[in-house]
Amino acid sequence: MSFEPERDFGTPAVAGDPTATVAIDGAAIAVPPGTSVLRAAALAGVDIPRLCATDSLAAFGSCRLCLVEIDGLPGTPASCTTPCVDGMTVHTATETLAAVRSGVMELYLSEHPIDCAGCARGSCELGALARALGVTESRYRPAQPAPSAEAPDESNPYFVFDPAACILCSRCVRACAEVQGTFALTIAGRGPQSMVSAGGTDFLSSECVSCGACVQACPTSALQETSLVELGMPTRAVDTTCAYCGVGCSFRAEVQGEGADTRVVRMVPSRAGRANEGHSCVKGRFAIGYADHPDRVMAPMVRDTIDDDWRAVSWEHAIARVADGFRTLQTAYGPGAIGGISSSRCTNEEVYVVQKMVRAAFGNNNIDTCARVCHSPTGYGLGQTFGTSAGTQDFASVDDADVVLLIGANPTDAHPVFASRLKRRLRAGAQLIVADPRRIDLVRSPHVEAVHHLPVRPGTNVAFVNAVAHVVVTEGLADLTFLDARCQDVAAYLEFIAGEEHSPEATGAVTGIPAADLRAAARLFAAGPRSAIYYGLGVTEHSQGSTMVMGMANLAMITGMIGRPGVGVNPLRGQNNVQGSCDMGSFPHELPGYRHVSRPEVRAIYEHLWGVPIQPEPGLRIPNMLDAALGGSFRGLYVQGEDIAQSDPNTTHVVAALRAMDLVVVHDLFLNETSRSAHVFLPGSSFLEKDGTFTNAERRINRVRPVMPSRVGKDEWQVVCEIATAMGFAMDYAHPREIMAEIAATTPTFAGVSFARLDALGSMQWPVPDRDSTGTPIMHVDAFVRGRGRLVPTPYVPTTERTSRRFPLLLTTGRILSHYNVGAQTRRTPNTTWHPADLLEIHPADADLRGIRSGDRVELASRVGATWLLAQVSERVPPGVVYTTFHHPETGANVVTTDNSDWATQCPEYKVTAVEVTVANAGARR
Amino acid sequence: MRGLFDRPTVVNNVLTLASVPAILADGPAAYAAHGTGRSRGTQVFQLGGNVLRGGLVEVGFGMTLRELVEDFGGGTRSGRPVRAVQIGGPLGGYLPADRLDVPLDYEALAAAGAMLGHGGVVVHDDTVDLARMARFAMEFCAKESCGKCTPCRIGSRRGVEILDRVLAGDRFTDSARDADLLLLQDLCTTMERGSLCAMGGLTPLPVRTALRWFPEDFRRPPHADPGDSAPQAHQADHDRARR
Ligand code: SF4
Ligand code: SF4
Ligand code: SF4
Ligand code: FES
Repeated sequence: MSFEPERDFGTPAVAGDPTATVAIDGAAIAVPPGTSVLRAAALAGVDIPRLCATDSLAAFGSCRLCLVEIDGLPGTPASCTTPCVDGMTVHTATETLAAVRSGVMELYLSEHPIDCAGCARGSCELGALARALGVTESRYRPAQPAPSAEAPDESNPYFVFDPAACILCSRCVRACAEVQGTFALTIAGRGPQSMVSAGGTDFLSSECVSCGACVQACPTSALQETSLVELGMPTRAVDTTCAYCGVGCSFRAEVQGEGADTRVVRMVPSRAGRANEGHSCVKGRFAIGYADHPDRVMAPMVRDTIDDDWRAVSWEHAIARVADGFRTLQTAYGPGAIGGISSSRCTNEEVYVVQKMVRAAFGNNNIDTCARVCHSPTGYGLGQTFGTSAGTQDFASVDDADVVLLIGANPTDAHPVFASRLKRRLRAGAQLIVADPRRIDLVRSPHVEAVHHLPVRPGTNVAFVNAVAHVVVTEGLADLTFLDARCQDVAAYLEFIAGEEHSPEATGAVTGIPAADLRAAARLFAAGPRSAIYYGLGVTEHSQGSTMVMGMANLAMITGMIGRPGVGVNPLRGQNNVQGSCDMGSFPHELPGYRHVSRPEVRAIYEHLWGVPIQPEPGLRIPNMLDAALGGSFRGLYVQGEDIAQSDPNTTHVVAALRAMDLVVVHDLFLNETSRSAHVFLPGSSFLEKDGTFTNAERRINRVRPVMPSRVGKDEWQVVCEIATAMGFAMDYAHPREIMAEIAATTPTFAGVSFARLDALGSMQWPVPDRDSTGTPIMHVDAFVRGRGRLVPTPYVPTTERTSRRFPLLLTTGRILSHYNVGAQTRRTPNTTWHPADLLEIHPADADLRGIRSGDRVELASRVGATWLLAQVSERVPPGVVYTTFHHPETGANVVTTDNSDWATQCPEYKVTAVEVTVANAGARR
Repeated sequence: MRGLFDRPTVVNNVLTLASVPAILADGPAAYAAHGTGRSRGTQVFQLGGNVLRGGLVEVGFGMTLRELVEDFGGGTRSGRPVRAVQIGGPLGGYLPADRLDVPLDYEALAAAGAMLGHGGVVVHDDTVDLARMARFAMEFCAKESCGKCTPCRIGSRRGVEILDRVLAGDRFTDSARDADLLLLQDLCTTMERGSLCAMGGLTPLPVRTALRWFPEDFRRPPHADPGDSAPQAHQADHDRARR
């Protein structure tokens, strides 16, 4: 297999009909007017030399290699900055041009190191282009070295900046600004003294967020992945999907070697990826080293009791132990004594076989997912109002939004590539309203500023969203035509929401939002003309999470902000496949495609195909399983890719429940908190070894392709099938594509999906109702999935978790860019450079009162428990609120969170806990 | 992009705006009556350098350069013969003393290989070394370059270095100097055709006209007196003319 970089057309595509026909070296091509001559030439198969142009960035015109001659125009214009006009005749290879190009190249070479490692390696475009132009050396003999010939900057763990190789093309500076939106880089100095600078410091100390856009954009070896420097050029590339967050970025894994000897050289986000369009964040691009971390468990292990040491055994032995163990427990305690937990990190195919194992081999519905702890209220709330459990738009929709209301989400940290897209739209003029207790980065960052930051007090989201809807309705801003044509239960809702108790003046005392601000924000949202809601876990992880989701759906409906580009209600999903794992029937009450187990016609589909009865009653949810374990009736659990002892609320309770079981099976990459209480450990495979699909937050089904075979000998879906088979229910697939075929055959929203179609089309957004459909970017266009959109009254019920004299502060939690979830992967990569420990943010006023300074070790105590961590005094949080992340197990942030949960879905209330903070050890002060 | 006070806005230089009152007062025909050929109206020249009476001169297009230098300027300040006049600003071309009868209008100057530019005129007497003036043009470009495009950013620096070698004369064989002068011509082509803006695109003009009309200055033996202050004085003339 040979390695070809993805095609680069030099300048971005221009929208429009191809009405400009131009002749380029005799080849005619029709392009939309405004397309650059450079791009038109590339499309016509004519490669014009260039160094400063790349199709992810606006044309810049600085290298002067792409010059052409155009009939009727004077001189030699740059093709990258010259737009095509119908009838143009362009010459790209005249003698004049050759002379200027070699002249420019000689100038470049006069400053480029003769021994440039990148040129030798083949990763420096300059060397390759010089050869192509026939310029082998420069006649200039510089008296002084280039001004930038300083020592390389190796401060970033993932890439090196070597100024000596830099040709000052500004691609890095422009990528950081235009693509990433961080503006960390600049050209310092002027004229011949110009040089690339990370704001006058090294990369690590700068504003840089290590997204790698600059490295990808750099045509030379001046900015280069450390891994490429160490390993050399890749020899082949595999298209796959990031396994971190719900953005679901497409990547080309560029690798060396075949089979088990495969080594990943670098991950390059693919331009063809429709979720990310060539961009990525530090996690997906760089933090993949965990896949061969020495901690990874490579063989199945068993032990008799959790106090024994682990014993490595064969797969046959381990699978027999699991199957026999589960059957024995069912014989002794009944069919409902065991259950399974599927993972939002696994592929759709893996999740599907887990729920199938539970429903068909276990013979019960005791299947649940870790999505329970994050986005189950989304499923419930959007299901009740719109009729389906998913976001309404594709990511590209935000490019059409005029107003964006961001609630309880911190995209620059948690969904970085979506954040970059959002920032681009905001720089182009859309207006932003942030509703979040914290001053997240988007409230104010370079060239982006929220019009309103509404610091909604943790736990009062519903009061807030009701107040917004109240203003819309009582100020006559509602879209009555839309309500009339598309919705139901309208009158009752309008009467409910017009109640004075929902007015901003009445709710302000609870939410902490000044009434005038709220009214202004509500008017802005209603005015649109295209207003979109984006939200995250700050909405769902509350006792009223489901209510809040319905509140936002109501708001979108009363303003008519649904069913077209630029509007909608959009969850920013945490994990890579949280959408897919929910779609695949991971909940105890739903078969794949969100169809309730009580529906006989749905059960019949599976009963017919599988030849076993499906239980018509919902099974146990995770919290019920744990309670039942403590009660003695639930004895065995299979957990795939999930560390419930760390990520579920109230850790102590979870551990006690696990310890009460007879057989806990953990299927994962690493030993974790849950496996401390496990009896069987089945080694899992990393995303580099998986073959299947992930579904991202915009319902996009992306292919995950194996870069190498499973490093532990068995794919996860195979292991699950073998357990089921050993339990007496044969599950036999030759390849994951057959699992997808079964999903498509049984689930109407997936009917048109197959690996072959995904491979051909790149990706599809469900629903894909048949094989003529290429998917559904925007939902509820002419009618809601449930017919009419349903307005549901959403009374605000305060959480029982309240501050008191003993616990006067509210703790809320979040995540940070460089880490993912409980950090099992990212902590095993150099990403720890940025976030070595979880910190507790506390407002200066609260800190002063308690004598706390930044860097102090503090005790964080709630009614439930206590933990210790380092304080960071910060005005990002308002007085009365403290904030931390939960990426490091030592922090045990969940030790202090309560058992409170969403009334509808039992999603835990991570976002509100009354706490007190005290200095634990002032001696730790530096 | 928005205009001043959100209104449609004209951006012009002071020279243009300064001619507006006269046109409004006397009418366009009166203004157009000045000048010659396609160059109509008046032009303000900044007469400077080694000239007896320097200053601003506004005349209709069409007067010859010699008239300007000799009648208005009164010849050189030093009293020595005029050897070269640079017209058009620091990036304008040089004309030798025997080519000063060119009329001052756009077309005639272009035909003579020079340009009107912003109307700066710098007079030099017979002590000027045009190789040094060529170096000055490259150095000026290196100082003023924004650095965005390659021909200007790197080219100006390389140009200074080549001219330093040429000026150092003694350390080079004739063939090395020939190679350097050829390289200088190639560099001028690259900068002229390749530069993004007029900064790098026009820098070759003074260099090329110096080479064309004063080739002997590029083939001199090394300066007998390295402390010779004449070139610095010419440079100072330049700086004065620019201010
Ligand atoms: S890695 Fe990303 S944030 Fe950092 S300098 Fe490069 S483009 Fe900017
Ligand atoms: S570091 Fe690379 S991308 Fe940036 S200016 Fe230098 S050569 Fe261009
Ligand atoms: S973590 Fe999310 S944003 Fe980052 S590369 Fe992966 S999918 Fe994209
Ligand atoms: S590619 Fe057009 S100037 Fe660099």
